[in-house]
Amino acid sequence: MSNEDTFVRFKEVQKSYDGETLVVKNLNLDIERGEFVTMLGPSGSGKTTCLMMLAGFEPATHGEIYLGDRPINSVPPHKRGIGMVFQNYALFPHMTVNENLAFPLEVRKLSKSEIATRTKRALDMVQLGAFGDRRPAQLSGGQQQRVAVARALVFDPDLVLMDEPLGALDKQLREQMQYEIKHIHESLGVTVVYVTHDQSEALTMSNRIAVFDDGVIQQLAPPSDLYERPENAFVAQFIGENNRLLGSVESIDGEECQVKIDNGEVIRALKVNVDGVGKRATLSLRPERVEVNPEPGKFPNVFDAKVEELIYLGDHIRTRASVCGHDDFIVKIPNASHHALLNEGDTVKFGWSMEDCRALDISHAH
Amino acid sequence: MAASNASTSQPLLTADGTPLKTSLQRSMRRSKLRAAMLVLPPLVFLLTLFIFPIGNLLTRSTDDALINHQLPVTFAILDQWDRQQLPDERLFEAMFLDLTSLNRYLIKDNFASAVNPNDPAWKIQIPKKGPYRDAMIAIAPHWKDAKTWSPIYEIAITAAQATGTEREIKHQQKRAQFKICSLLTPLTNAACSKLYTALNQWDGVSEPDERLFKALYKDLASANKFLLGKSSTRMNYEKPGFKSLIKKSGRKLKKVNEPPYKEAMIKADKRWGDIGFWHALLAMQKPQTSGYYLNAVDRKWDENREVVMQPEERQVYVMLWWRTFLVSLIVTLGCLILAYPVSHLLATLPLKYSNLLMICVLMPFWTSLLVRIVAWMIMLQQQGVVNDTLVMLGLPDEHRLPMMYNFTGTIIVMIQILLPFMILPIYSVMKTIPPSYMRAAQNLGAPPSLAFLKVYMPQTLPGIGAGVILVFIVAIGYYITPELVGGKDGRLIGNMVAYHMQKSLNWGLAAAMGSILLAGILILYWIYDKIVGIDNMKLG
Repeated sequence: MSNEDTFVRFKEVQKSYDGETLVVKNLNLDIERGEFVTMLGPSGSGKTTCLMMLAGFEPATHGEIYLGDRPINSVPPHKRGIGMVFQNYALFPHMTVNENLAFPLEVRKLSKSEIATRTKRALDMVQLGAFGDRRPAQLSGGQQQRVAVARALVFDPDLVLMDEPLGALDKQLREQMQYEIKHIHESLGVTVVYVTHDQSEALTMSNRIAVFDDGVIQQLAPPSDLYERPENAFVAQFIGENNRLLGSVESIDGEECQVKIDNGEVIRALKVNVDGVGKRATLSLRPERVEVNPEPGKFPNVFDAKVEELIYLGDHIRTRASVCGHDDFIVKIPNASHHALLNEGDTVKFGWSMEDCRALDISHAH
Repeated sequence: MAASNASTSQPLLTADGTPLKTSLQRSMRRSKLRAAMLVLPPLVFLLTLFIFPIGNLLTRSTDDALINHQLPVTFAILDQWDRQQLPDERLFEAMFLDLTSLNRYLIKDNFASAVNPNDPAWKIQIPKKGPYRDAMIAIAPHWKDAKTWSPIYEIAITAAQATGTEREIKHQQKRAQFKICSLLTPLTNAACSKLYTALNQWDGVSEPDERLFKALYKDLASANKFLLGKSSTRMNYEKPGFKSLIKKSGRKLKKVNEPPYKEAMIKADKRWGDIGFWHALLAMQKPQTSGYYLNAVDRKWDENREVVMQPEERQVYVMLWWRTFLVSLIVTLGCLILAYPVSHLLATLPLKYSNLLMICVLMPFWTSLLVRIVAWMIMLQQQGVVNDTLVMLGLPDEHRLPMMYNFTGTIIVMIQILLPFMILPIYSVMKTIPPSYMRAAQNLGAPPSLAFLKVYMPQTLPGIGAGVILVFIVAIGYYITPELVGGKDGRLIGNMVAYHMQKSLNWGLAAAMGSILLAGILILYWIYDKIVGIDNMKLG
């Protein structure tokens, strides 16, 4: 292995169910010990398939998966020693919470007293110490979810997989559980591979996020990088809100490039992922990086904007304006003491820096 | 606080001042009524076609009223007999009178438990050729009174005045004759035609004359003949040979007119001197009998009123009960073993294959039972497909396997017929178990076999329970398959019930067997409820 700390490694993994289309196309992914990696992507992007291959429920069509130094393609699921939290929790309905937690320990033939202490410890960890004798059906969704987490951790696995574990919970509970899972991860130091289609969940919890689309990892990066420095148009679009301007590259000058957008205006942008002069490109600009009526000379990009719509959202005012021929240009104006007061129909100036405007590839379909 | 105080101290009122409860009831009444109307037809159906027949079955299995009506005096003094030796003249006389006289139809307290055996009226004999009136009035003076006759007179007159087509009138008259007979005797299917005619010629108020009494005598005599036959059949259940004894001695006793009766009867048929026949009477003395139940388990009352086994050559039922139980158990187990994998396949296969498989499972349901059984006969008989194949593969011709008309045949065919009853409930439960449970179990470290045993199978228990109960209950009362393919050693208790219903006409015994089956099933159900819990049963 190239890296000492690499714990899970996908090497040139491909997966096809029907022999005609690839669900996972040539996946290479290294996960370090103790890391919290999230596989994020729209449904059908191949993220859950990757998790199933790692857990051993689906064989890889091609390539090899390593756990530690060991190739595990031919290791059956029950010998992989990987904990997993399922989408619907999969708590055994005919067993009590204690029995559910004791199941992996009994299978491993631990002593009765050892099982009791470990079960209790795991339940206390998720603050359900008093619920050991209940059946899963007698617990609320959030409680079941915690039991599922406790069960996946009770036999001290080095790796825990989570397959959209919070999907069935309401928003408030989901946020609370995100923090709890994050804290458990931090305190136990266990490696977690987490699958979700919810980007805020991914941003909250992960050390690194692998953004999946069309069976390919589009970008693998820490949350802040992913948001601030998306490497392609799909990631920019999928993570957070994004203003998209289409045009073709006029000139390239080192880090910088000039893009002539379709209504004729020229914008100076950071060259990230463009094919060359004369090729089409997408400009990506976060709504909160736009300044209204900037001081002259502060930004290289300043354009006239006509305010179309204002939406009051408390902490900020979401403004839709027509800029450079796009009437769906969004700007977030923070609700601060001296923010600009705009009215619908006003004509103002919008300005932004070269670095905040990233020139990316032309995204497909999305 | 104030509001809650108010609600506890006085009933809540609606806006217009009526109590809330009344208002609620009124508003719900319509929908409740509609619901009740919807339930009514099935309820009536259930009551008339299920509850009532079962009640009838239960009473029939213990009913012994007929014989008590037939031998009132004998049974009234039977307790005075020491049961060690042949009865004395007194009991013989009572038996003689009960067998030959019609007095019991005339005397009011004519049921064994209410009879006064010392009443001289029992000993009065009606001259066979008449005159009847004086003798009959001497036996029971109330027949002298026109009022005694008026109920049957009303029936006859009403029927005679009936209008309508000829056929309807005839029908009415026949009904009236039946009705009259059922008032006078325990028979409901005999026609008192002579009495009907005589009553219609009477004015209803004048003192009943000889003609009426003669008609009464004749009708009672023919009804009695029939009842005596029925009673002797009942007596034959207790002691084989009783029927022929009654029949034979009945003819000869007609000539006997005076005591001592003991000698006369033994002379008429020497079996009257056999104490065994007298002992047999003891079991019939109460209007309710457990005799049929005892008989159904090869037991009977002995002369000391203790339950003993039947003589060895008459023991059949205990063995049949055990065989029925065994067959049901084997069939249930066989069905379970075959159904479980099929159900699992059905529940997990992709839809297009599982639909095809489902059709295969249900196909037997759409095929006539007889066709299926005959198909099995062709398969399994000595010269059948299976044996022919085996012989072709090298089995010596003289060693063809006997698979039909025996125990094996019954088992094989019953398993095939009852298999869908096991598959469907198990399948319906398996269908609801997501594959993630098995995955979770394996993920937690359990090898597939252990995951199946500890996680998958316990979740299918409700389906297994339902299937087992269903198949076992159907199997334990099975009749047609053993009848056709069972041969001699594949017969079950159901076949015995059918035999006693249709051939021997011992309905009491058939009813007792049916009741035992019913009780057995209820006990199983109770045990199942205790062990698995009936709430856990899923039929589909």
